[in-house]
Amino acid sequence: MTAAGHPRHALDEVIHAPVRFSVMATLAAAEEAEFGFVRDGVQVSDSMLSRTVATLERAGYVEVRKGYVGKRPRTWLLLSRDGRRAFDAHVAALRAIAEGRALSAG
Amino acid sequence: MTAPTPESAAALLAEADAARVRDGASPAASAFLVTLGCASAGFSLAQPLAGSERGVGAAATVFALAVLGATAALLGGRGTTRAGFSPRFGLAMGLWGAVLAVGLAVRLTVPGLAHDWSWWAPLAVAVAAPCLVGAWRERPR
Repeated sequence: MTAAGHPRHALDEVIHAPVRFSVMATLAAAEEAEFGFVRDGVQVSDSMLSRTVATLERAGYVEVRKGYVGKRPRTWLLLSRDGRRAFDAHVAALRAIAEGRALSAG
Repeated sequence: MTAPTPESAAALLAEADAARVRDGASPAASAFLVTLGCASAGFSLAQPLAGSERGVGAAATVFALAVLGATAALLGGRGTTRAGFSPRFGLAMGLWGAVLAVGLAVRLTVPGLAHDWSWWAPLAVAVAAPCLVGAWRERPR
């Protein structure tokens, strides 16, 4: 395995942080998820999740949709196309690291 | 950025898999489709039984209330939807709407079908089928 081919080079710095990874993993499995569902699943506070989502939104990985159920405001989170692609690439790099192999091109 | 060890990378992959399982657990859409399918079948089966316009109106009211209740439960209880939910749900709803619309249109244009079991019983199955298949595809697992 060459240094350039090491899969750690394919890891995404934005996604690599633990809470961001957990949020991305939750959203990757869903079409969209409600803010409270993600907060409870990832086990973080509202403010922590808000900050995390803001970072992912700035990176273009997460989209935020606000709406109402009755009179109650709801916030829905979903991965953007770029976010899904970046997460898939990040997971592929993790898989290569876990299996101790170089990342295949493409 | 600290590169993960093979062990920590495997742990992260396991977390991603766990998230996939967790996100598949929302029953709201499945329950909605089951309710819609059963209410539609019930509405169809009530037609030959209804002896008057009033009976048809009562069946339509029960059907509408069931669908409204299921919709409210769907909107209120849906924490997440699995990847690919919209096309699957849209297909089920589209087929349901098409079958129901064609069924009612035929009923209105062909005389003598109002109390004919041989029309309404198959229609009940046909109108429920897209919803029940959709519910099965969205079932919690």
